[in-house]
Amino acid sequence: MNNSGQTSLAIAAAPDETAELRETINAFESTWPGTVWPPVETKRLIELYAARPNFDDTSEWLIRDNPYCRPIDRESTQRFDFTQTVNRSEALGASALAAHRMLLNIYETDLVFLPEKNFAARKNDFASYYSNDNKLLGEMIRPTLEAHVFQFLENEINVTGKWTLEAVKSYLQDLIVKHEQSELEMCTAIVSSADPVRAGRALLLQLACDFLSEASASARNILGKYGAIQSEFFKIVIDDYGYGVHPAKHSTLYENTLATADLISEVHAYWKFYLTSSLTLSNYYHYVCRDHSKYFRAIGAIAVAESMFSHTCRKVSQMLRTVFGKSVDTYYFDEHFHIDAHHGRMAFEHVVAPAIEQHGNGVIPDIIRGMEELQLLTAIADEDFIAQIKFLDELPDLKSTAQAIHARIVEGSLQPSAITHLGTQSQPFITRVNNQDQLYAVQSGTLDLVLGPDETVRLERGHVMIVPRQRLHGTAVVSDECCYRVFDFEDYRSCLS
Amino acid sequence: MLVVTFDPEQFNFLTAGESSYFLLRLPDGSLTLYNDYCDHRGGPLHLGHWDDLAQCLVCPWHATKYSARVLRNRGTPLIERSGRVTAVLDVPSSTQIQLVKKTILAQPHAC
Repeated sequence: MNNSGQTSLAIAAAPDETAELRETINAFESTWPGTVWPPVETKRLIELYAARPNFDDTSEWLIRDNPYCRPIDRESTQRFDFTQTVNRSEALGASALAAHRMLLNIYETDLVFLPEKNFAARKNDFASYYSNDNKLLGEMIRPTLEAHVFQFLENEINVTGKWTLEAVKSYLQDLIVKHEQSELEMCTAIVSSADPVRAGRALLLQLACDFLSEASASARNILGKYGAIQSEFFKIVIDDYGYGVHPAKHSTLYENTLATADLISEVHAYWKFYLTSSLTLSNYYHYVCRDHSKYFRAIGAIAVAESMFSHTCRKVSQMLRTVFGKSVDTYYFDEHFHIDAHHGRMAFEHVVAPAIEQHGNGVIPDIIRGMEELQLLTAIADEDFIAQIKFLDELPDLKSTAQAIHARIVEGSLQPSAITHLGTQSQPFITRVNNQDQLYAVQSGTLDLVLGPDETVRLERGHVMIVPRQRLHGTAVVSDECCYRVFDFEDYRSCLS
Repeated sequence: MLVVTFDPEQFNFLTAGESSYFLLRLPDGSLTLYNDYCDHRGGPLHLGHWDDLAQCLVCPWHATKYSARVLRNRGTPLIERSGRVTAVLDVPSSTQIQLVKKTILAQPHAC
């Protein structure tokens, strides 16, 4: 029997159904962009996810040898509407921080993490983190969270025109030349900081978010079957994995760097101190590498990263030696200075260029978009990190400014909105960013503002301090109880005029 | 090829050697950098007008039409990010360029 007639019938019947289905999906997506559930249901699912034991708030500042313990800040997940997308100015805001914590938790269930010792003590957390319940719930909220934090990239970047391989090559070369002529603002900020060692350690801590599982996100693109490009891409990834030689694995090299800077090298030990932008960069690679419809975006982003990382690593290595002297192991950065000069070339000549030749110029806008998105997120990350260093450097000024503003509040000439908190020593330790400038005023007891794993500002009764918007901080009650007020300002500087 | 980066608020017309290009914000919000010479007889396209009904640019000389899709897809390779544009011009990298601000009559009114 010839089956072609049946096939034709099936094909003939499909367009109407497909059109109808597409119309339904379009209507659905236009109602709730980035989500497959109505907002109220999405909110419930996000709250359920945040309430899972692995993500519950804890009292520890550092998370020791437990890669499955990843607090989100449960209260914030109840407060924000993740079905709305953030714009660029909100990309480092409070909802973005919570969303990125959740997203990294979701993405990393695809990776294998094991504690360095005492697995038995972590077995329940291990089972819970990799459970179907956790993974399924994560998948249900992932599109909403991705839209919340990454949709703004669509508005920020436009790619038009008739692109060719030659145009892409010229654009990338121009980019590399400009980058290699630049001083890295991040390194300049560290060296010129009031406390360069503190600032240098802060950078290493932030980079640990990605570097301790380096290339795990991009390795998502080495499976499948897509020809010679796949094998070329694989070569880049196996370099990062040290060709199976553990001491040469890039994450191992980074562990050595951390150790010589007196930092912990366990995965996500500093989870609570990751800046929003550090999580953003890690998540971006997962975002474009996990969803294979974004494959061309991913290779664009990776080509730019590999091309620019060589110069970045040379500068960071120099900066680390300036700051720490000979005691710090800079081999991770020295190795990348060398190998990424090759990887940049390999990524373009053997992955990007053949992809365009094989699949046509139609893939170029996605490749360019990936290149641009990564640059934009890197620029945002640099701004975020520099602002955090500056925040710590400016603490004495912020304290005296806080006193002047608080005096005006007390005399009644300023009446900002305020919330009174009554904290106890046993309360969980949560780090946050806020969308407004805030003034902390302790009314009784003792409160530590925690600005880094080794950086606190102690506030006694009558003490005040400003925390600028989007600056990461936590609070720890030192006395049995502490009563403090937090005043909100759109811009604290405007209160001084 | 020559890569040029500039502020589109400050400049909207670019001359590179013998070639001229103008910036146009299309109704969908995207920005295109298009060759100023009409394919037909070389009319100055930036002095054309935007036909709201047909959603196309009309050349001032012989009314040759350029749809938004053509303007978007056949323009000079262009990236707009964070208030800056980068264009890749198909001219030798040593070509002298001049950036100016002109009145672009072809600009769609709603944009």
